[in-house]
Amino acid sequence: MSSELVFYIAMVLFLISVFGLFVSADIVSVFIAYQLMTAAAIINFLNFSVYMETGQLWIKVFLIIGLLTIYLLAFVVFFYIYSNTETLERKTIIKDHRLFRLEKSDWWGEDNI
Amino acid sequence: MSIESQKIIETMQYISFASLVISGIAVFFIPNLKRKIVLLFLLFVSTMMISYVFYSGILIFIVSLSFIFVFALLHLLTVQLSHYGRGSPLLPSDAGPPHSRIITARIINIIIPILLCTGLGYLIYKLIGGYFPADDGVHEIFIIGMEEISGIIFTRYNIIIFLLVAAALISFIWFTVILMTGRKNKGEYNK
Amino acid sequence: MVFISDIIERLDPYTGIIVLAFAALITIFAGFSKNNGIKIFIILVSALSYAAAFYLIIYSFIEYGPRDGFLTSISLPELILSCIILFIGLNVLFFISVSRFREDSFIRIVILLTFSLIPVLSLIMADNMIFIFTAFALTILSIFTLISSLDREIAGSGEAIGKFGIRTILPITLIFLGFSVLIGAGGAKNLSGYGGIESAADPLLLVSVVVFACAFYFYFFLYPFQGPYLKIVRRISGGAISVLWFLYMPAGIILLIKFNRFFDSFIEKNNIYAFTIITVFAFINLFGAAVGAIRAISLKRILSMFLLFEIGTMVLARSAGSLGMTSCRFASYYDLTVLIIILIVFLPLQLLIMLLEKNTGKDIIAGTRGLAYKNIYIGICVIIIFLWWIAANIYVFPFEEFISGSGPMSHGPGGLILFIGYIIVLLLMAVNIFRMILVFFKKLPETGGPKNYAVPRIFYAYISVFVLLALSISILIIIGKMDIGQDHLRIWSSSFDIFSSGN
Repeated sequence: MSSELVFYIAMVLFLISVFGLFVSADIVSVFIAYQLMTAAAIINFLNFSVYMETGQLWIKVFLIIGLLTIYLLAFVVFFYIYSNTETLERKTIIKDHRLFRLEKSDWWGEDNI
Repeated sequence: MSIESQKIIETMQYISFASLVISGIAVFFIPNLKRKIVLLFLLFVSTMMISYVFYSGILIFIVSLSFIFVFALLHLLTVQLSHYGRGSPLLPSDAGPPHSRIITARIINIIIPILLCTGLGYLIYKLIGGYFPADDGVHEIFIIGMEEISGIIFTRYNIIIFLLVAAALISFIWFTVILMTGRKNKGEYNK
Repeated sequence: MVFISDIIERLDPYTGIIVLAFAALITIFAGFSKNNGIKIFIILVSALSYAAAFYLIIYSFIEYGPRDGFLTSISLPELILSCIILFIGLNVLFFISVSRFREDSFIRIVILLTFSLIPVLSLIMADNMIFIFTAFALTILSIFTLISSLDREIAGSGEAIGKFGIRTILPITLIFLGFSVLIGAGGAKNLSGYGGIESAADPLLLVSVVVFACAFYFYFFLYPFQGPYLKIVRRISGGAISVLWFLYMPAGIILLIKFNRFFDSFIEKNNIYAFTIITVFAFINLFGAAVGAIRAISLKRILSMFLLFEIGTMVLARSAGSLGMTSCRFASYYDLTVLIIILIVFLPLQLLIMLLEKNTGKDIIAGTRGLAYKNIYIGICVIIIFLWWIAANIYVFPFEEFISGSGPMSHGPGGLILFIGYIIVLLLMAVNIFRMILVFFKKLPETGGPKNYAVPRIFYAYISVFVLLALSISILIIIGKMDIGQDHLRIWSSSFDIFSSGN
């Protein structure tokens, strides 16, 4: 496969993740959208490491450290949601994470607590 | 590398990319949370296959360890709440607008992102077209092992390892705070 | 002394980080204590460690000068930013100590705070892309842990914090993707390997710049993605808000200053498409914040919208740059100025929120009714801070580009749109501020409500420092404008040169 085709596939994955962020509501879909974005990044890194003559080791180090950091952050966030929230609250947390939601309270006036 | 090996690797590339794209699209149209988790795992396996066919199999071992923790936690969360997902009887507070309005909103909600992504995709295609040099598919393959990676990490990136280890330690302290707060709040809820 | 100098030389440039890590390590041993004496000791240890890190960073810079390493690049801008962050750390420690001293987990929260400064300091000095990414991701992680551990006060805060946390993963993932595309453009390992007009022709660089721009937009919760941010500020305590406003936002501004080299390459091209897109988003943000604050009654919500307004002016500065109104390096200078304005204005206003919550139990603006009579000194200080804020926003924006030369049309219809639009939003913000000031002067009812505010003495000193700072800056500028003594332009242009040479 040519590097151009692989790059296009990575961009397709990125666009699918953007689509997912706007369309999907629940937390699992949002996390999967983030995973698709991460997968696109991994594909780009690996693509350029194969076709570049130098910097292959550096790219792999970047991948390892970068992914470890992202997953540590994701783990911390999910741990918070899982352990410090009651079941009913988890239900609302898991429900709506759409990237863009037109809610009056976000633009005008107050949101009721 | 022999022609047969090249063909096998190319076939694996096509399979893994295809499974990534198909499962990536399917996950946003499947309502069941447990099935989404299965697709997430499939995504992960496809990504690891891609790293293998791009001669970076070492990533499979290191990254999988961290991903498995996140995946396990997400699975626990989903299993606990799966009976609150679709298919469960609607609570009175869940009663929303009429059915036709919901369908119209959903269609618009899907069409607008599709149009946005198509536009972005077209822009990227126009921009990048012709940028990459012609590729005859022949490359020198370097397979980098764990000893080279650990060598460079512990010699030149030791401050980053220090930060990561410190972050893991601090996260452990934070876990104790969160768990104790959770217990205190549960005590309040049970009153 | 030679021994200490040797150690500092060996640890350089990580001396500040090592000192903070050492302080966190000492604090860990007292992690589960609830004794008030030990808490005070821990506060002192932490404050001294921030001061020691402050001193060591300045000492190292004076001793060894600007220097580049494999992972780091240190010059005067990094020194200034490091000092600002440590100053912020001291302030946040103060706010957390005031609001959370009696909590059982207070010492562990102080550990989290000390740790959260470590990745921010690393981010400031980082030049290698791996180091930048890791430091930034760990900054977000540590800030999230800090916000979530500051105890929940209101039902629904768990939901808001959870949604906020999920949203913070997005900018990190986008930056990871941006780096992956950037590597294809040049292959350089350090940020200083990129930048320059000739590299602006690279389409991969353009794609990565767009991805980075989206990442920053989501990071700052700019309009129209402001929902999780506005929800969380209403549902968390004053101590957690101080972390959100003074650690989370400045960390983003610091990273933005580092990334300006990419944005500047494209903004300089005077592209009508870039100008249109940036201006539209800038005005969505500015008008959204200014108009949204008019009907808000919660002080936390109003001030959080004001903060979004300030960040929006940074987007507007890019818009001005794309029109050719400002030079390419103006953006970094402007970002630093906005950071300083945020600190001078919002740190004392944070105090006002804590006072309100302490005295009335709520943060609604009606609680400040009669502040001008109940506590004249605090009332006057807050009014001065508000008026200074409007004046600072007017001064920093390049209005002279419209006033001099051929007037408002000197940069075409685009310039006129910027000029008029910014005047309108400033007027809207002025309306918001005067609405709040009017509440201070409303007479108290005959019965009911506290007649006086209980204000600890230290609050007077704290707010006085910032009012004096604001007034000193104003006096320096006025003196410069009147050509008395030092030219005011020379004061700012020297700071401008610092940033232009750094980038």
